[in-house]
Amino acid sequence: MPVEQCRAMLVAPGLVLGIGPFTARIRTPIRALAEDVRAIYGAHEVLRDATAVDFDVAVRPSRGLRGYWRPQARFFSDGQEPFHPLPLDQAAPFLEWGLNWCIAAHAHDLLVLHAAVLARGGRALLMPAPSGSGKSTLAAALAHAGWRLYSDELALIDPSSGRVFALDRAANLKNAAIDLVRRRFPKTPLRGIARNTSKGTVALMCPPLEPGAVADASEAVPAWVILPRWIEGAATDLLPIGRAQAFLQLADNAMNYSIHGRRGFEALCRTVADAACFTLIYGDIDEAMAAIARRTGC
Amino acid sequence: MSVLARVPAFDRLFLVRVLDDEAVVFDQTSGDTHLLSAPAVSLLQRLDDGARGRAELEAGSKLPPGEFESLVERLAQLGMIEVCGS
Amino acid sequence: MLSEPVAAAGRPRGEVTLPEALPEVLPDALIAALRDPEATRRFDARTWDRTLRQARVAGVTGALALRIEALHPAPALPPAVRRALVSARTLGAKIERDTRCELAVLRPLLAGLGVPVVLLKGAAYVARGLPAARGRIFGDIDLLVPRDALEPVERVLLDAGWAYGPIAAYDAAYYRRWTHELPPLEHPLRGTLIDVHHAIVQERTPSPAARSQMIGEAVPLDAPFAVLQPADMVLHAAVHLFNDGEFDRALRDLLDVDSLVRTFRAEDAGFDRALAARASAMGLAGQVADALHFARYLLGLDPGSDGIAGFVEQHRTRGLVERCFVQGFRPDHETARSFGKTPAHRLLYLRGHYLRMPLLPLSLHLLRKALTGGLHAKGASGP
Repeated sequence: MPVEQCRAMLVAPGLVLGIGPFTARIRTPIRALAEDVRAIYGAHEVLRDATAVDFDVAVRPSRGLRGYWRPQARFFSDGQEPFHPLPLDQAAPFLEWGLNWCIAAHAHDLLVLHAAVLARGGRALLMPAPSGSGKSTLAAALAHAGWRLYSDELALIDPSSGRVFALDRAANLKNAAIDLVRRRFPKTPLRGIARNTSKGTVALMCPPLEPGAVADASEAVPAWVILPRWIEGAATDLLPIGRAQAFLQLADNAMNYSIHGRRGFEALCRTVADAACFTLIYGDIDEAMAAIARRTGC
Repeated sequence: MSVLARVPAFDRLFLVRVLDDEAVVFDQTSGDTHLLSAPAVSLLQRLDDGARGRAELEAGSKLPPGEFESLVERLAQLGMIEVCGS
Repeated sequence: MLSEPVAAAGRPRGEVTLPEALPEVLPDALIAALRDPEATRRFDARTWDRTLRQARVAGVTGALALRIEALHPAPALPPAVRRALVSARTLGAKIERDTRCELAVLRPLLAGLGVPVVLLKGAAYVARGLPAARGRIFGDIDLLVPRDALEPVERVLLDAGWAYGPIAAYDAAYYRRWTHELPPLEHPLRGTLIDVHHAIVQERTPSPAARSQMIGEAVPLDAPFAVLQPADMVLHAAVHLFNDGEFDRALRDLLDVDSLVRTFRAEDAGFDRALAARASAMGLAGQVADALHFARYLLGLDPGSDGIAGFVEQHRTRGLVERCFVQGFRPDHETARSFGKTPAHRLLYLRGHYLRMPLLPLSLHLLRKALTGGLHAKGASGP
């Protein structure tokens, strides 16, 4: 889509995108954000404006004084404002966080976990972990090694089948991970770079996908669960663990496990049923990649 | 002699899924999920097979002294087993 | 684009003739869907989109799900709508489960006090197994106890681990003096909230004798729990709806009234008469008449026998306040907002507070709220 057309749609009536199993209408008059959206969601399906969407979001600049002095961006979902404004240069990560919030707040038809998910040949690798465990960096590297990045933040699990849905979101990189990706994958576009955020410098790594790739293979069977932990200088150690332990880690990192009750329990049982489960301690990304390749045979 | 037993209506109260030698258990009343260690799983299985006597179960558990006590206490706390007699 | 009216969706049709006094016809997609679920079979994608947005903002996706899922044969829904309804039903079921669980914890604690504990609103609907409980999103358990039992109940809950949130001393004083409840108690582990009331409505409307009559005539469940008798339950829902000050959840509260009346009519053919008599006896005829009027007009509640229809026409509010109520029921979303909505909300807020306090403290309280940004902090902080 030409940039002018994309920008015009984002102003009004909104750009309607297929994002995994969801649809979202995105509106923004912010020019820089329009370019980021085009880069990040370039491979995603554009739907008709007349679609009943899952999420209706907008990012708008603050009015009045805040339009000029330290300008701010505001995020809206269904016209409501769930967050305080952020500096305008964080508009792109704000939109991404906002969409994640929409999924976590509204998608209780699915089990939503805080986990990075990558897929390959219809099989998925789940890495449930809290922030700071290095899962985004690992996900970004794997996305350049033949894995398809579903998301570095959210795993969507179908409670009736235990399968994982694709999302094809950008990876959220912070600080050193940004330099690492720049150095290793200089051709991969980074967007929405913002300094001095509460998390330091952040950037969004566009999913390295061919345009149109998002349309097919929308789900995968969980085949591996890896609990990653980055420790500076640590020797790489990928250790098998019991599926019950992995189950508990998945449940611990779930956003809405308790909402599903018994159904959530049964879904996670199916998720780990045929998965090989490991903990991964690593200090070096190449060693971690090699260990994962050995274990997964990919 | 002290005997142990699964609580009545165990299967209505709890869903247990054995994964490898451990298990996850869903408490249908509270909605909580717990991890059962391998000794806990084997204790519940032996109760299922008809074993009752505490001394016999303790000997069969091969747990160091004290650990069997805390295992029984924990399972009783979770409402999964009952301890009868003194 | 989204705010263009969709003609097919909104206009109430056919057999329902609206009273002439009605200030305007509501074109909102959500109201049309709630009022006449069959009409959603003709909804196009755009109308469904508006319906979903409005339902989320009004917090009534669960009620919408119940009405749509009752349709036979099942309608074809856009995927986003299907998902949202499943999601709302899942969340509603979770709240019902949690409420049952919490009541099971509270029951032995409160049983020792030897006073009846009347469950109100969501907890009452769950405990009595009423359809109004299904899909209803609520965060707190409301208990009503006799005024002199307030402190013992408070002590038992504090001893069992509940605690007051970080509430400003001024707000705490406001709660005790002018509202009819203790400040909310929160359980630090389970995060459950309990509101203990000693009056079902503000001090100034029904007499203390009427209040204790309501508690005295409550229907006992597992001791010490009880629920208000059917007519009183509707009275309470109606009073909550019109006197609460916070009108944002008005549509949700109206759905409660609608669902309760439907259920109780099916249980008891004489319910309408009992309701009218009770409302008059308690001095709440106006609120009940308004609630029935709007439930009929907005949610398709059957007007009922001539007797209750006459009662409604005799007691319901007309004029400016009625206009404001109609605006107040519209979901606060750009697709449903009309000119004058925000002033209408403001007026209703003032009215709710006027009913609760004498005028001087009212203005002081509003000033304080304006200075401190309100009792309730913003729902979420930045990511």
